[in-house]
Amino acid sequence: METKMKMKLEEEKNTIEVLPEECIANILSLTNPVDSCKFSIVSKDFCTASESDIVWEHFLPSDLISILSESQSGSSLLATSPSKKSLYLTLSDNPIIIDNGKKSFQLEKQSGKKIYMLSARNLSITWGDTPTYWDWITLPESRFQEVARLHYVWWFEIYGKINTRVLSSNTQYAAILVFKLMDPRDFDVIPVELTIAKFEERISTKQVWLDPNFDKERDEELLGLESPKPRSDGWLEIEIGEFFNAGVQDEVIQIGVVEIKVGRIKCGFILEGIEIRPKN
Amino acid sequence: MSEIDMSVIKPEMMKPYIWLQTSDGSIQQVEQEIAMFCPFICQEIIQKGAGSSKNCAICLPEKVTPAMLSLVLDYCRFHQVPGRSNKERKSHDERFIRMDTKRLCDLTSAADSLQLRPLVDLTSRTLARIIEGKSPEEIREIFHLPDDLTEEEKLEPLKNTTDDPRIRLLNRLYAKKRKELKERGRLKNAELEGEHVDERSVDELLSFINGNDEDSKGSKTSKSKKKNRRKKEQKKSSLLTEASKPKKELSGHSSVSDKIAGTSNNHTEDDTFSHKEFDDDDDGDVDDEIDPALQEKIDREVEDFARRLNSDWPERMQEFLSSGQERKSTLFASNGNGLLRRNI
Repeated sequence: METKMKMKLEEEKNTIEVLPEECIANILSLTNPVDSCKFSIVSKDFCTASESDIVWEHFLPSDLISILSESQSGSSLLATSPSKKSLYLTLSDNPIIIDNGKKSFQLEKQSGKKIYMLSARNLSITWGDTPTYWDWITLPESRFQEVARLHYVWWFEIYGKINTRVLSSNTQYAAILVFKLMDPRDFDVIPVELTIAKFEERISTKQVWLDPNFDKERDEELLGLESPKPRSDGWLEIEIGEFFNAGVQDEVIQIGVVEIKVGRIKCGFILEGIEIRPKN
Repeated sequence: MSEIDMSVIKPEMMKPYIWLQTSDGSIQQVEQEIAMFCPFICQEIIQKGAGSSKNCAICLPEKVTPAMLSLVLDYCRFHQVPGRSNKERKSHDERFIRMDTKRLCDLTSAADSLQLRPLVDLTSRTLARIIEGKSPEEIREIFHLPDDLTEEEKLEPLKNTTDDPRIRLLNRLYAKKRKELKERGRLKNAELEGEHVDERSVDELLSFINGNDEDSKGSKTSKSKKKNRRKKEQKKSSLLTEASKPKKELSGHSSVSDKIAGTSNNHTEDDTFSHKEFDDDDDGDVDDEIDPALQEKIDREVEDFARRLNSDWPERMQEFLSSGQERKSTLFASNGNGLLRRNI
């Protein structure tokens, strides 16, 4: 029994403990954020290694400093974060506003990939500058300074675009419309067309109803259509479409939300923005 | 030897072999071309002029055993040949790293101390693939790591930047667990030092409990020595503190209280286990006999707790919420038993 114990102890000495903390950190940096957090309770060495900047530097986007230093909240976050790990966790918990209030930026917790939201001001809304049709208000539940509120319009057209250069490479992204409906009586009868295009060529297009309570049973044709889902920040969202970012070359993705065919007035719509985030 | 002129070194560098001394003291000759692939060896030759003869053999870092040196040199021997294609190198590497985990670790260590970055990257990537997705317990098994973090260290409070109520709950549970561990530690110390507990505090707690419609713990007089009785009352006070807490929190959110009561229910079972031991033992010093058994139980419980809490975020929440549901059904049944047992 005693010799067995001795042998076991010797064995125990000669394994991963021979690795210096930096090596363990290096290995962890080649795993993923979730595992790195999990492994902090394996042993003392793993705990220290998992807190190391070597690990979290690897999970943060390489161009993070240039993204954050453009904005005030970003620079202060950079300056006050005690470690790369805390920077990672802060960025994945909450979005920060960048680009003069026009966009928000965040990291996906599981993977560290970039998530952007284009604010309403960053999109082109046809008739958006005509107060009779659209006006701009401040809402406490919005992350942006202003949101666009629709009074009424016949020509409902919103466009956004994003350069894949700013996104995480080798990732499947989805564009999501983030909005609220004040009075769904129009959007529950009129479908809206959502499109994604690259270099003027359509990648995807679909028809949806923006009213979450829309009665699908009404018409057989309508049964397969998507409906909006509530978000944790209190807004509704519906996926506009997907695209793959290889990250090899710069591509401009054009995103469209359009309803111009039915000759009816639409109203009761508030636009928060369009979110671009990795899809599963 | 101080710095040597490059012109003096040159003829030395033409020599095909250099001498290396490994961790076990043995010295061997190695083709210079191959050995120079390692930055450490390169530095030693250039800066210190070592390795030219058996007497001034280069002392390799302690992690470089003869076996490891041989592996490293095999790697260098292949890669220092310039004409190879990337495909060739890649397939060589894939064959090369097929070894057991222990050797991989040793090799990483040796390569790291020799500053041979490409080999470190290769072995690290392989090790990363091995550990990815495994549970902490599995990791400990693979690498024979000791579970050397204390329960307290494992229960580090989570950062709650979004003020998520679930995180607040988790932190509260952690704090409760830490407090309990501290309490046990304090009790242990108190017992060792023969501390006296203020009788009044126990009575106050008793009346508080009585006021809450619980059965009176009673002034339990045991036939044992005074020291034992004091110990028992100390233990009781900790049990009562545990019991009173869930009462207060039950008035709050129902699911919150289920979980907290559920957890404390577990603890009281542990405490009653130890309480029983007290009853059985007439002697004063029962510390050593209880601790290992109880310690193991606590360890397992905390390990399980920590494992569940440190797994994937959504999974963790799912598990937690579902176990909270389970506890809800068993709570009232065992709570009754728990109370009865405590009343012995």
